[in-house]
Amino acid sequence: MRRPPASGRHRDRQRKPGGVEAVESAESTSRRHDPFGLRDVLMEAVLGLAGRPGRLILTALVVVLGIGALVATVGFAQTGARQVQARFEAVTARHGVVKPAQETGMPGFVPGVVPWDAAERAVRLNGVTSAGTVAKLDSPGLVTAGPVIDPTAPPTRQPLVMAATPGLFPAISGHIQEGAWLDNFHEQHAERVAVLGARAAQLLGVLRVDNQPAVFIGTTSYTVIGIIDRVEYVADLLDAVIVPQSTARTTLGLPLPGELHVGVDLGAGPIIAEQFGLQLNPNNPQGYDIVMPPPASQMRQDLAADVNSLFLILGLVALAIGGVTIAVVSSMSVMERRGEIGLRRAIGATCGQIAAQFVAESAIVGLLGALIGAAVGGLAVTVWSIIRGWTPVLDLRLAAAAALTGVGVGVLSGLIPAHRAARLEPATALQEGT
Amino acid sequence: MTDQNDLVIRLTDVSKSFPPDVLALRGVGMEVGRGGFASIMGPSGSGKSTLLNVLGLLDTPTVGRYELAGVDTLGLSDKARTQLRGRELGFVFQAFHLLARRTVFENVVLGMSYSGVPRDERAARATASLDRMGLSHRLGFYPRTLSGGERQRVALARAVAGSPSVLLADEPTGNLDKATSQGVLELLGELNAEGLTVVVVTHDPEVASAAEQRFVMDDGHLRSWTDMSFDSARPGVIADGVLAGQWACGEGA
Ligand SMILES: Nc1ncnc2c1ncn2[C@@H]1O[C@H](COP(=O)(O)OP(=O)(O)OP(=O)(O)O)[C@@H](O)[C@H]1O
Ligand SMILES: [Mg+2]
Repeated sequence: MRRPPASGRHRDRQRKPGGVEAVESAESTSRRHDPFGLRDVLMEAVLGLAGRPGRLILTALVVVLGIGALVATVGFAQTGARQVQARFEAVTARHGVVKPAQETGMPGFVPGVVPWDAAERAVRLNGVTSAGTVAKLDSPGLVTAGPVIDPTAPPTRQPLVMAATPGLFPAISGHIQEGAWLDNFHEQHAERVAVLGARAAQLLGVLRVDNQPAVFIGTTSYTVIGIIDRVEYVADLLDAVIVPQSTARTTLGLPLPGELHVGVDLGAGPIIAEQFGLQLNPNNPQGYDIVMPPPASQMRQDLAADVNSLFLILGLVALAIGGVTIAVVSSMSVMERRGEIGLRRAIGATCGQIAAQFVAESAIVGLLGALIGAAVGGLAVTVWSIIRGWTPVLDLRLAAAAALTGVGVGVLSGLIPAHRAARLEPATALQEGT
Repeated sequence: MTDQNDLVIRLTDVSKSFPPDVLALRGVGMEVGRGGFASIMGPSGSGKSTLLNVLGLLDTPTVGRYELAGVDTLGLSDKARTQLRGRELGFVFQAFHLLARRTVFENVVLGMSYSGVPRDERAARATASLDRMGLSHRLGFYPRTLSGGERQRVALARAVAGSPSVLLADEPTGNLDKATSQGVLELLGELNAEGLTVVVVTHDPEVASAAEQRFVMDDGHLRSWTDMSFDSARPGVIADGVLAGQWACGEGA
């Protein structure tokens, strides 16, 4: 009676036959069918989060703290390890030492003797960049800073007296505090000069070398030409008055050159070790204890990042708190959004799709927190490294792991709220959530 | 009056109880033909919303049979029910249920996103549907900036944009003043005239009398008033003559 001829959108429907065919024809009217897929879930999740920025920031922040702490902890450890490795490569991997072998008791074994010209022989080998001998003098006589000896004065602590050749200093990566190290001229002419180790200098009250101070060993004076404050090997040098080897030999009665230190090219250690004995004494190549750096490939494996477990635990705890925060806030959100959930159910969302949306929201919060956290952690490592003058090590895999962890935490903590949301009765949700 | 094969809604002996002992629906039978327009009145708590929830597949009957568009909904999985709901049904609620953080346009598009309407059709359909409701000038607005009548028209646009078979409206004018209600009612009438099946729960006799099939819900029992002759020009008759003595329907009227 009050129905005019059908027109417009619903015309097809009116012609639709009843019964089961109706459903089939409803499907065939729009042959194409775009289901609500992952893309839509993510889209809805992003929009859902973007609509509540305050809440998003709050929840993501806790994840930022957790992931940031973890990334920084691992980053610090890796940077530190790299630093140790760099130092190792710079020093340990380039240093070798040769001493007379210990008596083994094996028949026919004769301990070798480091020859006076050991350093010159050593530098002739390929891969040896520097070489020098060093020896300690047993009873050199009283060492004083002035010529006047007061026999009644109480005995003070005495510095050591050592003999060294010019090439020793680079071989042991020494560092000059003041003046200069012994040079070839001093060695060739058995000059009466001395270099002081920093502690010996203190002991003797020598603070500067520009005024050519003298120290006395016994009654012989030696002009101080330099003070050294750092060595990587032969730490005794810092407590010693160091004179040229030739000087020690002629004036102080040094019996033997002691041990030989060599600087070697990276990775050259094993080959040099093979040739060294022969080079020093072709008649008794077995008579030496030769310690050379291992091949470079072996060294890296020995260096594992030493992660600070306390910080690691703190990071994990913060991350767990982040997860709980997401779960709690998200559960509150479900209660608050009952109306929306009911509406979505009414317009055709399955409970799985509702659950997926909430899980996706939590996952995105976790991911966002993780990415920002990784950036913050990386920044902390960088700043810390720059302050210490180190090279920051920022492993990209760490960022990837952080992102995955964030998503994982998000998904886990989203499961409970998602379950709650999915279990809401559509009718109840629509009625209560207005 | 309706051909048996052309029934969209067929409810047979449906009862619904809520724990512990509420019997919200008691043996309800209801048939609405394709393109029909049914109204349900009744006092508060009589079971109108419960009935509409059952019709909308938002709730399942405790006993009884329900066929929607020829599909027996009993024993359907939740997923199948949801898909059927998304495809065949559109909803309008007293509380509008628009998402506050989406624009008018986005709200209408969202209404199609779960039911499989092809992606590239959604924008055009949403625009057409909003245009149909006289809201072309409100596409980018947020719901909070709209009047009640406009909000309900957005909800209506969302409900029909996906071309459902049936529109279910639970007190669509409950939050609106008389003049605004009139506008919404006219839209319902027009949609129905274009072939959409409409079932509306209302407290407003005027709305009820616009329907060709009129039901009254009374303590879980559904009674048909279809056979009684109402003068649609004088809707007050319902309130005055037949139902006035039974309950007060002041809220809607
Ligand atoms: N989820 C539920 N759990 C328990 N009881 C319910 C539930 N939903 C509805 N009821 C009860 O079922 C009866 C019918 O409720 P319903 O909401 O259908 O009434 P109505 O006719 O829509 O009322 P109104 O006009 O106030 O909206 C009421 O007694 C109500 O308390
Ligand atoms: Mg109700």
